Amino acid sequence: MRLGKRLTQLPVALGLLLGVLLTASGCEGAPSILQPRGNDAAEIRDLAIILLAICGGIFLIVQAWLIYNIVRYRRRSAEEPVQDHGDIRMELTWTVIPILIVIVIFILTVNYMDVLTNPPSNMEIDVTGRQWWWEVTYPAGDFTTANEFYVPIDKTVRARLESADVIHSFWMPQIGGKMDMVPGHINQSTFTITTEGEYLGECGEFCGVQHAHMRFLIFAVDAATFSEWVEQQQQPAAPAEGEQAQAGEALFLSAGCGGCHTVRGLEGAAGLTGPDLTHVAGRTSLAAVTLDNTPENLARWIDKPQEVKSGNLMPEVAVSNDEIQALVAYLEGLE
Amino acid sequence: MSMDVTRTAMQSGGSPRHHAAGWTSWLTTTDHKRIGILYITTSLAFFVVAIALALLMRTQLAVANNDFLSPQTYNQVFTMHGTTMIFLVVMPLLGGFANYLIPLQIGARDMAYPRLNALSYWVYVAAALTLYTSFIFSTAVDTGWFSYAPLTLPAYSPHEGIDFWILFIVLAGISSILGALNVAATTIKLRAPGMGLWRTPLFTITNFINSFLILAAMPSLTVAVALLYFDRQLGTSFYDANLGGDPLVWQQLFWFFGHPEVYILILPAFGMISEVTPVFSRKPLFGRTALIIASGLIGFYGFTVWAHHMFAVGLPFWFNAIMAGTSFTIAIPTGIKIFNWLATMWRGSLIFTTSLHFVLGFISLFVIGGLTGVTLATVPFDWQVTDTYYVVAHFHNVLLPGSLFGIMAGIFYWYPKVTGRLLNERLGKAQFWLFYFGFIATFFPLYIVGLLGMPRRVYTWDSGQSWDVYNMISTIGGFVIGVGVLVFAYNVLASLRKGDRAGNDPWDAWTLEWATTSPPAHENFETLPPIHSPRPLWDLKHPENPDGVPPENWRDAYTARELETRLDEVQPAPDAPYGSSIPILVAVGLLAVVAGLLLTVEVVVLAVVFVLGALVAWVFQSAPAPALAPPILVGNQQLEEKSRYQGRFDTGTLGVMLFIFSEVIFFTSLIYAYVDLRVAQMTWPPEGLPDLEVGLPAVATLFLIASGVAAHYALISLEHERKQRFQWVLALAIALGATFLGIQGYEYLNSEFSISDGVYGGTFFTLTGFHGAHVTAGLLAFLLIWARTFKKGGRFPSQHAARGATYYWHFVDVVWLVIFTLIYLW
Repeated sequence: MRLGKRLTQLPVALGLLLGVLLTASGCEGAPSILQPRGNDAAEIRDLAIILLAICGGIFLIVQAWLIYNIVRYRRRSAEEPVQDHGDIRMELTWTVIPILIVIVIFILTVNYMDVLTNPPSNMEIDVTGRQWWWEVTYPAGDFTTANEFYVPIDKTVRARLESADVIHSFWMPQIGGKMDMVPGHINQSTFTITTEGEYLGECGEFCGVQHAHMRFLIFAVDAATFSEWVEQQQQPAAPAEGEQAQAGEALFLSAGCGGCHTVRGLEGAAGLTGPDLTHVAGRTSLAAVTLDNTPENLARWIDKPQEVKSGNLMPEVAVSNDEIQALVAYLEGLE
Repeated sequence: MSMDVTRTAMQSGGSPRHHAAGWTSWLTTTDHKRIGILYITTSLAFFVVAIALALLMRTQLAVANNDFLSPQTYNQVFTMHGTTMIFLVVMPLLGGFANYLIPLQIGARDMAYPRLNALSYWVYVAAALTLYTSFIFSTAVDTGWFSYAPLTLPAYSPHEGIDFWILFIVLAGISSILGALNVAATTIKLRAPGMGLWRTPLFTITNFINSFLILAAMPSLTVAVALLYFDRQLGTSFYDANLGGDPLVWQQLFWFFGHPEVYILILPAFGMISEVTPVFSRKPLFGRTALIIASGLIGFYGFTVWAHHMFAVGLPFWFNAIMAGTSFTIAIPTGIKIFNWLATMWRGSLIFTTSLHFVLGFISLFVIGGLTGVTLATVPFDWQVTDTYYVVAHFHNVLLPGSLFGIMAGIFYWYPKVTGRLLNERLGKAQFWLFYFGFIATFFPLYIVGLLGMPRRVYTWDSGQSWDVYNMISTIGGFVIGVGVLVFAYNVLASLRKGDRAGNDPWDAWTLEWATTSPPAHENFETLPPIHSPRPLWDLKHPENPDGVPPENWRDAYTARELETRLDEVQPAPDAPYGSSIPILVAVGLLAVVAGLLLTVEVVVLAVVFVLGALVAWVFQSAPAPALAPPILVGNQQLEEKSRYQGRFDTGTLGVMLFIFSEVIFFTSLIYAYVDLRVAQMTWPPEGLPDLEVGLPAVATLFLIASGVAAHYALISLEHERKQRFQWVLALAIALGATFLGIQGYEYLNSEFSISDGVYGGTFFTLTGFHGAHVTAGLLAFLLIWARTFKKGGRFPSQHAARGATYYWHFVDVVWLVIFTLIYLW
C-alpha cells in the first residue's frame, strides 16, 4: 500500500515535461538521474518530482510574500509604522502546516526506502572498488573482469560491494542510487535495468588523486547475448598469434606485467593488484573509462600511464617503441 | 529624539584607562573590540584567499578535460577552500563580531575572560599558520575537509600534509572552545540589569546558543583527529579495517561534529538578519519569542541528524529512517524563522539600505537551500544525489546567501559603529547585485549538472555528457562573485578614510550598541539607559509608545540584585595592566609544540615546558578585569554604580563548568569509539594478548576517590576561611592524586602489550592516557592554587579558583569510574 503512488499521478506529468525540457536543452548523453533506465532510478525520479512539487509550492509562497513586502511596504513617510510584536494565529499557522508537510514527506520517504531496500534478486555479482578501477566477479560463472561488465535486462542483480583499499561508492546514475564500499564492511546494492543499452557507472566517494577517473560501463543486454558473453568470458585467453603478438606475450611476462595483471591461460600472469586482462581487447575503454580502447590509446597508456592518469598505480616501465607495439599486438588479440 | 541617546553615550576619551599606543599594543590587547577587529580582519583576508582558491577550481572545471591544475593540486585546492572557509573564515568572522558586539549589546565593558579572549585569537592565528605553512613544507592536505579514513592513513596518504591538518584542527578546536566559553559566560554573567535573557538582542542570543553548539561539537572532532594522529604516528589501528579498526568510526565522530558545525556557521548569521530586519522595517521583530525558541531548537536538533551525511554507507534501515525524520524536523523551526522575518517586514516601512538588500537576497535564495536540504534528507533521493554537484549547490546555497549574505548585512550595519564611518551605499548595492546574480549563475547550473550525474570532487570531466554549458556558466558566475569581492574589499578599505561620518546612531536603531560613540571608547559606556524591553533605545526615543514600562519599585529590585553579588569579583586588582603579553606567548608556545610534533621530540618537550611556564605566569598575573559596569542613567540621575554580575556561580567556576560540559562530549566520543570497536571484535582480548589485571588499578581507583574526598574537604575548609587546614588537606589531595598517576605509570611500564597492539592496545592506552593527562592537568591546577596560598602579601586565596578546580577534579573522578568499569570490569 503506497501513499506515494497515488500522490505521484499529477506530478509525474509535470516531471515528464521537465524531462522533455532538459532533453531539449541538450542533455543528450548525460548519465542523468532524471532519465532513468532502471527500476530504482525510476522510483527515485518519481519521488524527486513529488518533492519538487512540494518544495516549489513553498518556494513560491515565500517569494510571493517577499515581493509583496518589497512593493507594498516601501518607506513612504518618516512616520513610524504600527509597532506590532506578533500574532499567535499567524505563527501557529506557519508552525502547524509545516509540521503536517514534514509528516507527509517522512511517510513518503520511509515508503520509498522500503520499496528500494533488498528486493528479491535473480543473480549475484561481486564488485570490489580499488584505487582507481573496479573488479567485477561473477560467482556463478567463476570469472573475473574489470571496469566493463554485462547484465541481462529485467533481471534483479544483487551486487556485493567491497573495497580493497579506501572508501569508494558504487553508482550508476540512470540505474539507481549509491552504495558505499567500505573497507571491513560488505554492502549490497540491488538493481534492475529495464532498457537495453550501455550505462555509465561512477565512483561516488572521493577516493584519492584519480577519483575523477574511476568509472565503469555496464551493458544491459537480452538473455541470449548475456549467456554468450558469460561463455566467452569464461574462456581462458587465446594464445598469441603472429610473430609480433608472440613477442608481446613474452615481453608481457619478462617486463613484469604479469606480476600485477592476470591473463587466464598464460602461465606466469596471475597478478591480482591490477585489472584482469584475459579479455581486455573486448572492452571498449581503458583505465576505468579514461580512454577509448584503440591501439593508439593502448600504446600511449602502456608507454606513459602517469601522463594519461597521473598518480595511478601502474608504473612506467622503460620499453622501446617496438616493444610497445608488440605488447599492443598481444593485448589486442585478447578478445 | 536621538539627543537623549547621545547624552547617555560617553564622550570619547573619557575612560580612565587608555589603550597603550603603538602597533605592539595590538599584540597584547585584551580589549574585546580590538580582538574583534583582529578576528574580523584576519578572517576577511582568508576570505579573499578562499575565494581565490574557489576561482582556481572553477577555472579548472570550466571546460572538459582541462589541465590547468594537476589532479594533486586540484585536490589540495578544494580541500583548502573548504577548510579555510569553515575554520578560518566563517567561524572566526562570526566570532569576531560576537567579540565586538556582545559586550556592547548587553551593556558590558568587556568579555568575561579578557585574557582567554586574546588567547583564543592568537591560537586561531597559530592554527592558520599551521595549515598554510603545509603548502611550503609539504603537500597541503588533499583528502577533503571531511578527510575520510582510511584515505588519510599513511598507506594512502604518506605525506605530512595530513599531519599538518590534524594539528591545525586541534589548534582550531582549542581556539573555538575558548571563544565559546567566553561568549557563554559573558552572556550569562554580564548582562545589564533589566536585560533578562529573553530581552537580549538576537545576535547575542544566537551566539549564546552557538557557544553551546561549539562546546558540544568540537570535542568529537578533536577525538576523531587524535585517533587519526595515533594511527599515523603511533601505529594504532582505530580506522584500519585490516587490523580490526573501522573507517565508519571516523565518519560517526566526524559528522557528530560536522552537522552541528553547519548550524554553528549559520545561527549567528540568522542573529544578524534578526537585528537588521526590524531596524530597516521600522518595526520590532515579529514573534521574537518564537524566533529565540526556534534558534534553540535548530541548535538542539543539529545534534540529532549527523548520520544524514551517511545514508549511503550501509547503516541499518531504522537508523537511516530516524535520521531522516530528525532532519526533516529542522525544517520546521527554520521555516518559522523565515516567516517571522517576512512578517517583520510586513506592514513595515522598508528602508532599502545595502544591509536590507542582503536581507532580502538572503530570504529569497536561502529558502532554496533550505528546501533542497529537505530533498537531501529524503533518503532514496539522497542515494542518487549525495556526493554530486547537487550537494555542492545545496550547501553553498545555504552558506553563501545564508551565512555570507547575513554577515554582509551585518557588516554594512555595524561597520559605522566599528569605524565611525559609513560604507559606500552605491558600491554596496553594486556588490549585492554582483553577489546575487553571481550566486545564481554559479550554483543553479550546479544543481542541474548534479542531477545530470556529475560527481563532486572530480578534478576534471569528459565532454559529451551535456555538462559543458552548465560548467561554463558556473565558472563565469564564480568570477562575477569574485568581482563582487573586489568591490567589497575596495569599499571596506576606502571607506575607512573617505566614508561619510556615521555619528553614534546612523540607523536610528534600538539596541544598546547604538547608545555609545562610534567607535565606542575604551570600556564602551559611561552610562546605560534603563532597560525594560528588548528595545531600550526605542523606549527612550518614544516615551509616548514604549515597548516596556518599568515595573514598580524597579530601582529597589536592581539594588537587591546587586547586593547578592560577591564583592571580590567586582574589584579589579589595583595592579591590573590593561592587556597582557601572556596569551600570545602561550599561542607561540602551542605553535612550537606543533612544530615539534612535525620535527623532533626535543622541540616538543621544550615547547611544553615553555607553555606550562607561561600558564604559571598567567595564574600569578593579576587579571585585567574590566572596571565596574556602567551605571544606569535615568533622566539626569545616575543609579549608584555597582557591579551586577548575574547568576549563581562566580565567573571562574562557571567557566570550569562550561569546560566540563565540553569535556563530557570529549570522553563520550572516546568511549563511543572504544565500545563500537570492541563489540565488533570476535574475541576480547584478541588472541595472543593478555587479560588486564584488576587488582592494582582497583587500588589506584581508591586513591583517586580518596583524593576527590580530600579536595572537597579542602574546599570546605576554604569556605570556612581555615587557610592552614586548606593548605594541608589540599596537599593531601595532590599526594593521593599523584599516587594514582604513579600506579598508572607503573602499570604502563610493566604492560605486556603496547599501544600499537591492534584495537585492544590502542583503546586501552588512549582511554587511560587521555584520562591520565586530565589527572595531570587537575594536579597542576591544584599545585598552582596551593602555591598561590604562600604568595607574600597575597589576599586570602580566592574560593573561585579552588571551587572550579575541585569541580573539575570530581569530573575527572567520575570519568575514571566509567573508564575503569568499561576497561577493567567489562
